[in-house]
Amino acid sequence: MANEENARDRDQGSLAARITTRLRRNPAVGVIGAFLVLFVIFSSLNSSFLSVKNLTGIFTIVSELGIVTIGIAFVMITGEFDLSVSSVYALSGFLFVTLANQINSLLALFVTLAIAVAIGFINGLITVRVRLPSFITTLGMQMFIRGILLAVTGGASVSYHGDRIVPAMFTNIVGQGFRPSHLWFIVITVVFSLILTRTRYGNWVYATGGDREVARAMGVHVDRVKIQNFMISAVLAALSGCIVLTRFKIANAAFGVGMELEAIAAAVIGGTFLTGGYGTIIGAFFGALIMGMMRTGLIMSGAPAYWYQAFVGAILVIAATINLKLHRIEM
Amino acid sequence: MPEQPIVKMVNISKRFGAVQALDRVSLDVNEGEVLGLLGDNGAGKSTLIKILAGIFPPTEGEIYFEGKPVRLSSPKEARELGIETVHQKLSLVDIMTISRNFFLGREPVKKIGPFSFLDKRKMDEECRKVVTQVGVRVRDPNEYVSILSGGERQAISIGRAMYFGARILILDEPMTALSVREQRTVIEEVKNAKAAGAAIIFITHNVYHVYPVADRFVILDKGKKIGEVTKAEVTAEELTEIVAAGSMTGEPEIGS
Amino acid sequence: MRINLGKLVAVLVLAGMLVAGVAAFAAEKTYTIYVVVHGGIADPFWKVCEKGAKDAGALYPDLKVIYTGPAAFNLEEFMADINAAIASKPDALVCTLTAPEAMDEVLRPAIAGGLPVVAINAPDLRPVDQRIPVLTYVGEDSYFIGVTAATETLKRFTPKRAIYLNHHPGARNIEERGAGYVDTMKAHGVTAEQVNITEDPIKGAEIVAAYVKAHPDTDAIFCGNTQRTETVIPRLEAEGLTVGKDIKIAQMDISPKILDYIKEGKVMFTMDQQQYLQGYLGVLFAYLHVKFGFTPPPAPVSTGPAVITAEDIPQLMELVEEQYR
Repeated sequence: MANEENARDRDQGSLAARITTRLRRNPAVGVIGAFLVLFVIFSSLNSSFLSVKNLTGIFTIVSELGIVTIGIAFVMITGEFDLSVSSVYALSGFLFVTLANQINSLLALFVTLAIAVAIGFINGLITVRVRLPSFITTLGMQMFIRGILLAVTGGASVSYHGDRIVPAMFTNIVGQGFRPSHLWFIVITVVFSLILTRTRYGNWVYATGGDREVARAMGVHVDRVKIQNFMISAVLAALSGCIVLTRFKIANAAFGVGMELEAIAAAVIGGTFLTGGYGTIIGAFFGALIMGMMRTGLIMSGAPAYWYQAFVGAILVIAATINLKLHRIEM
Repeated sequence: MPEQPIVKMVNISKRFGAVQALDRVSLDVNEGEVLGLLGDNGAGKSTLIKILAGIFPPTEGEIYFEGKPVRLSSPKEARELGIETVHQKLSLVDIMTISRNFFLGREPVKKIGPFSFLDKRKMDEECRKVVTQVGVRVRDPNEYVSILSGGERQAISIGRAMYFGARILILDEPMTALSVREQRTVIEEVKNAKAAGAAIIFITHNVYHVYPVADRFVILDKGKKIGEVTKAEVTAEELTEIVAAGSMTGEPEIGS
Repeated sequence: MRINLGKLVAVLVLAGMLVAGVAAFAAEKTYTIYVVVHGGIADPFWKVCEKGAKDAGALYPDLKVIYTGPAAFNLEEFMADINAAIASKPDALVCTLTAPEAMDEVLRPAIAGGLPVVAINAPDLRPVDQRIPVLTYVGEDSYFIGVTAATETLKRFTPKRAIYLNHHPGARNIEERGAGYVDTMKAHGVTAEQVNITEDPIKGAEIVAAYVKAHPDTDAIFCGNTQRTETVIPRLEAEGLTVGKDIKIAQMDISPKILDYIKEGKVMFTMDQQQYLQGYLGVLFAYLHVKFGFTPPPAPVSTGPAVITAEDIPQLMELVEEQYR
């Protein structure tokens, strides 16, 4: 009986039909399409858009936003929010520069990342133990860290006088604007995409976000998964904060303000659901590409400066709607 | 029937603060047998099986597994002994595929160098096998669980428990909100599990759900065991009266 | 196909409208000069600068001026805008140097590659040999502005405690103004310090109120931004202070409200850095250099400060309404 059915299905599904089903099923297909459309539009409006120099410049911004987006996507897929990423980003830049001005920059980097992991751990612990909604926990953490940063720096910028090791690792320009940070972003995308889709841990992440009680009933340590994901998001935000610091060579308490919402927007445009349990890292990659590309593309098209926010807002709603519709069709 | 029950719960009591949820309840189940655990809402059925599933310990009483005393301090320990629970709401994640759901928490892996990756092929193959055995028609185990009906989900959950070597299968109100046709799917799968030698505890407050497939019944009321009968000794209508009245004579009792 | 055809058409139409909308703004090829300021461009101060830049652009038919910057001050956005402007391969770039160390990496290669850059409003204040090699700088001499503010204040009275409100923490030139003010005050024996009032006008007002409550002997303020003073004065009045008597304010830049305050005596005077000229001359120098090869006057081409008191107001009011000052 089963064999009959399989044979029938195989006949009904032509190659074209099966490919379309595969495509439609991939949660990232919407955002990849949107990216291509926007890319073509911007390229046709200004031929300089396609220059290597411009594309690498865009990818630099994209990489910095994208690394944070990947971390936040992880947290969102688990069903939580991490609004503190922007403050961790700024704090890390400041910590790194303060330390690296005194000690070896590589050591400074490790210490900074370790502190970020601790912050993520605290975020996670409070969220799961106290049962506070993560929106609140991380919002509080965001304000707390930002406030401390402002108090300590007094608003002044801190310049980088450290050695060249970490800057070389992150942002030294090669050729027509290529930077190591681009590679970092791509590698992080690949690694975390594999973790999410091809490991046990990834399955637990999806389950925890999809239905926490079911996951728990099936033996998944949901609390542990959530805490770990907060740690991941914090360390990625810190990494990005250090990367941007080596590019600007100054740290300032005002860095990254509003970035948590940009990262969330990028993740949502990339197909991650706000409600958890659904999303991909490849989608987050393209979501960050779109967000990062918008500003430059609009400037180069000559659009009035006041329109950027409006465009980004419109894109966000359109992309999220498309993602939702595609997903509904699938489910 | 083997000589001894695979699991014996002896004089189990459970207190939550001032509330006595269970009062010296004893129960045993044999392999290849379906035990209907009956009682009206609030009788203590859920509490009793949660103790068996390792969710919390009893205030008093012992549990014996294959004749040996055991202390179940976590759901993991219970699962390792082969005690599996199937709740309608708590078994599958809608927003994930059938294949991923099937192996949730017990994913098979293959190692590439120092890294462990999901063995997707094995997951899909095994899942497809069991799903077909259970009688559910699904083209691809990578479909989302949301396309399945309630009955199909229950049947797959039971099939999953059996696949993973369940020796004691606890079914917690498995027929709630299912259509007649869906209930049949589930009953079929329960029969399969029974034939495979599982000891099945079937909890319900509706006698007609379990009567067709059960061998014995234990009736609880307000935390106490008020009766234990075999199917031969009683009809479904009589059982319903007993459950409603809260006493074996069919007459409501005052006190005990 | 299960995809709803109607919905697909709707999405395509929307996308098409988006393309049409953006295409309407697409640049043409004449002499294109990008003016990128750190903003926020929604600040009325910058609207005057924008008018200057656009008016200069209107002088010549073959000159196109594109003015841009972040809506609210944000260094990363500003840097992204600079990058985008440079990537568009304009004929020249006019920009503020609000964070010279960060801008080194982007501007130096562009300038070395032949892009003429005119700096306005915020200069590179590092030692001369370390500065970014711009064509020239049009704008204020920040330190001197602070000194002028202090000197003018001291001409009117000797304060007990003077503070400078820093509304752009991290911006070198804003800090320099404060330094000029504080140094001059201290040299005259007045207790003086800079107070960080953040980028947020509401929060900033609270900070000032709290400071004045903590230090009731504060009687002189120098504020570098009109928008901020417009929130600070009402906040201090709500505390029961008579602004203009208990506490006197020296101001930077012009707005209609500030002129009103001067008339009412709440603000002693203001200083105009004439940002219209910064935009105007910035674009002009760049265009003339690009088209004819003229070398502009050397840095700094100082556009201020002009000290504005109550007497000057009548002729100014109309110009302010029209966004010339």
